[in-house]
Amino acid sequence: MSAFLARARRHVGFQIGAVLLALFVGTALVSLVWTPHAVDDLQMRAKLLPSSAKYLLGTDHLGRDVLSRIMVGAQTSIAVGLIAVALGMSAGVMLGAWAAARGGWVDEALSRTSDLIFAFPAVLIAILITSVLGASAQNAILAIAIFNVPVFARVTRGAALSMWGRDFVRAATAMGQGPLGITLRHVLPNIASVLIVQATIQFAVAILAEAGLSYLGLGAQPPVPSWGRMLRDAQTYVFQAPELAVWPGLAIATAVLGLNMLGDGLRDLLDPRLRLLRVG
Amino acid sequence: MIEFLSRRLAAALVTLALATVVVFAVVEVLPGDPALIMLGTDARPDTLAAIRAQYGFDQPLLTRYLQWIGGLLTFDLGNSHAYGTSVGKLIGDRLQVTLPLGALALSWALLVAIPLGVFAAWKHGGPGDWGVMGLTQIGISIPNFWFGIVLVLLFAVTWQFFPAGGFPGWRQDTLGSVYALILPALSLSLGEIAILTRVTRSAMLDTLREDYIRTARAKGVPERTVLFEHALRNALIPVMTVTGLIAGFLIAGAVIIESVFRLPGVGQLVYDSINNRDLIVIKNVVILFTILVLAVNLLVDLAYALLDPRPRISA
Amino acid sequence: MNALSRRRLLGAAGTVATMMTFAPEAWAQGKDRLVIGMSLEPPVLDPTRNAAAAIREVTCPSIFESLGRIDRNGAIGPGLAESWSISEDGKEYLFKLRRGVKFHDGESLDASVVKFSLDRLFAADSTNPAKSLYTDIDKVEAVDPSTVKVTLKSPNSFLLYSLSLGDAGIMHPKTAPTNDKNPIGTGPFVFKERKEGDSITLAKSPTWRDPGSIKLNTVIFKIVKDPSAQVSALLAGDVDAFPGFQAPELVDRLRKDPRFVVVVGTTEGEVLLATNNGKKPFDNPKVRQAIAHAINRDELISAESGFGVPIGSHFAPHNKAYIDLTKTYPLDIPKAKTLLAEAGYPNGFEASLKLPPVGYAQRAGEVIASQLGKIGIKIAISQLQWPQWLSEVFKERNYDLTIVAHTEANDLDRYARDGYYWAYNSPEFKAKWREVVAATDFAKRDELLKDCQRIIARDAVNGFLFQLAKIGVWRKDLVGMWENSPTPQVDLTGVYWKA
Repeated sequence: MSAFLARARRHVGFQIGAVLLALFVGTALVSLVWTPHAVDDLQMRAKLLPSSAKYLLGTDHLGRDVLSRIMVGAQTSIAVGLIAVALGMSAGVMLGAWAAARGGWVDEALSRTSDLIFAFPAVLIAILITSVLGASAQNAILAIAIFNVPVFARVTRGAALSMWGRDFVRAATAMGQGPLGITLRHVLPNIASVLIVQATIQFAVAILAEAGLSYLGLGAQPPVPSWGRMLRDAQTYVFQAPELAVWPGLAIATAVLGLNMLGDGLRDLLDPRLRLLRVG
Repeated sequence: MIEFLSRRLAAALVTLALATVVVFAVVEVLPGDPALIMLGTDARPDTLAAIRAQYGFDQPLLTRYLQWIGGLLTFDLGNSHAYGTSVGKLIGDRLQVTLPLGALALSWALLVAIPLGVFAAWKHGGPGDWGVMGLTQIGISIPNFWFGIVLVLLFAVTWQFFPAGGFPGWRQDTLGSVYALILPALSLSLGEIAILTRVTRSAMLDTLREDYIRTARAKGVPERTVLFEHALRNALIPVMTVTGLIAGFLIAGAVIIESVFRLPGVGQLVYDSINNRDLIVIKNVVILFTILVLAVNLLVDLAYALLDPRPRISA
Repeated sequence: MNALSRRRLLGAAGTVATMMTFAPEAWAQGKDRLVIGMSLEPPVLDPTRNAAAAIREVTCPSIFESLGRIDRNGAIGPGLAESWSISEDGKEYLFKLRRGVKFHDGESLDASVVKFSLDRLFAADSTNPAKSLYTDIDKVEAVDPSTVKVTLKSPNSFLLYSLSLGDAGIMHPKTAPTNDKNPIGTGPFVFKERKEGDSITLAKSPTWRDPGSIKLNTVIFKIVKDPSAQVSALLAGDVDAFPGFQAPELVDRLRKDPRFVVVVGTTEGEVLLATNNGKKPFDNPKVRQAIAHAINRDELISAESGFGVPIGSHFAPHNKAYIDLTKTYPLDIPKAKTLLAEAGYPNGFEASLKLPPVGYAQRAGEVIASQLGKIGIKIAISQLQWPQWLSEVFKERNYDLTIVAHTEANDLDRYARDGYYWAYNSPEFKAKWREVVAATDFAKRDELLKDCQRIIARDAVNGFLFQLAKIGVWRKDLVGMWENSPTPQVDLTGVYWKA
């Protein structure tokens, strides 16, 4: 662990990523207890104000403080991204590990299913899913999670298969341990680093996806602040208050950049030979 | 090799067959009654029933599925419920926007990414490499639709060099149509530039380590020739492979960019069709995209099989 | 085209004098092309098949005409029928048709064609979206080639209006099946071309009865959905006119531009906080009254950038039978809280607000949520696509509250309908409405309509928010566009470019 930290101290990308992520998560945490103004406080007489000492980033079309909404928007991004990745990861890791352990038809079925999901145009299917289930944060999570399953399944399967070829796993098999025990005791702990790195990257991808869906009106519902939705609203007012379209985008880019740099840094630090799947 | 390819082809066909079932099922469970959408809020139950019978919405599921598949197999995509016109014509019209958009974005991406990647590989480990890699990191982190909005703010609202959106049509105004695609293509290419730069860089790094490059350098071949003629030629194979993979997704993924710039492309067609519950259009477009992606994957496999005698069984 | 025809004229006349006389006229006709922007795209182009308002805007009365014609003030004048008479008991209508009317494909209009078109409306297998407007018709007879007799089962004081709507457009039996793609009617404009998702082009009809009133040779309806894109299209000169401009927040930007005029007129659209009267706790009148007391119409209209007129009942303020009922339940938060407590909800309750994808609902939604929040009603907003709204809210009545504009004229009858999505059931209103329909004296009908407004205002059936404004934006030199929207039609006869 201390060796890891020593190397991390020399990895600039990792550090920048960690700082940006801390900023992102910190903002969300602070917004739980404090925002400059109440997020849902409508002030129809204070519509579309420019930046001022009272409203640092100005106000939106309903006279709400943009800074406060950006801060709370971080919560939405984290909640949607984290839950979607966690769901996709749990299912994907389970399926991937099963396929690696069992082989045969399970493996074949998993490959076909992930081919199937990868072959679909992701954005269109996500729009369809949210149309079927209704637009809401929960359903956006579900749509994003579905596309995370095959990503984690493939990465897990590949990494697990190489573990099953290792001597210590063969030894465990010879000693009569069952596939479930081996997977839990030997395989998964040894591929954890790949999964952590992949999860970091997927978190970034999920935040982008949430922003896209919310921009189309298919994500978190108003009045809950969401960065993608703020961009959608802002686009109507580009002539009066162009800066409204700037701040939420910067917030998304910062959060995603932080996670991407952290993910790449983690990969360098944990295992530079890792091959990542990038699906976006 | 023939055996390997036929196995891949069979797998792709199985995937496609599954895809038709999934797409049909998802579209069928879309909430909303197409008859009610046509006739509106004053419709009487008897007129609604008459419309359902007229369009065959009341047929059993299996019948409708088989009708759709039968149509696909005979290249008959049917008629749109909303417009009354043929789905083939609708898609054809929209491809006239989406294909040039994708092509423009992709060529621009290659034009920028290849020199950048070569440069980064050449300066491997130095500040130039760091700079380029940092830029690609930013490139994949910026949502492309936001980049599009910012481009509109700058070039359309503030400086008014370009239209903020819309598409005049090739026949009406050819030059204007090209103009209308420039900002969307730039936004769409952002992420692709980042990915292709990285691919070019790592492919270049791989080839630069090869013996023949060292020999060439030792022989005193000029660095420019080494980079662009010896190394890049080999590095282009993985770059082209990734380009192919991106192309399929690029076209389908353009839906949000089309929405930002109000381009009447295929993505918007699906989006509008979902909103109108023009089920037959949704089904056909999604399946056509799926076929496209599967075909590109097959081509990539084929390319690998031709270039590398030891085919890789799984991606 | 213009230059060509002018040259041909010059060649024929060959004198300087004729050039002098022809030149000014040719110059005046210099601009004969109009591009009209629309925010919603018509699906098919046949108003008898689909309820979308956009179809009527493009095709009525430009392509399809009806027996009567609705004018810019909502009054009914002669259309394809040049006159009519109504029997004493209100059950027999005798229409005298215009002679010599031709369809765009050369077919002639006669009583048999009209009978065909009217029979389609109420036939057993009719698929007309407005069939219910015509089910009082008993039979239609062609008395002679230019006379049609319509007999009703019971008097209906709205029949003439209904027969003037695009839903009752007169179509020829030969072309009726293909009018969805290739509409052929009798109107002043001929369908030329459609590009789905983009535009619809019409051209002047060479055979229309009053050629002098058509000053435009080409009319293009261009679909521009996004509000900021509508502004860009106007500024860039891609679109000459937006009769139904959808972005009140952007009007200031256009007012600053000397090239345009902004004309604010009236519509028939009452924006409602539609309420599910059949569901707890909204079945309790006190809860609905509490909501009515909590609604701040000034804020809502401010969210519409000041466009819109407050309403206190379901009736358009520009109608002569209108009475102002906005003070029935004035803004009064403490009173609202008391009413909620009396209804058994001292701490409020949670409710859903399902919004359709239209600008005014999106703008009003968050404002209403905040206003109701002040009296303890916690609102969860969900945004629906139209199909979802139609099935979930309208058909299955699976909702608490929604915001929607009812844009038809004379639509109070919906409060008398059984099983309508508000689930309002008042024998008192139903009886009153029966009197309205049967009234043959229009002055008496207006008094009855006032009673109807009072009943639904008192019962606080829905939250009555405001009357939508019709914001028209067009080029300063464009003359003759309708300032009001009594019905979703765009009448282009008499529209011209000022020289």
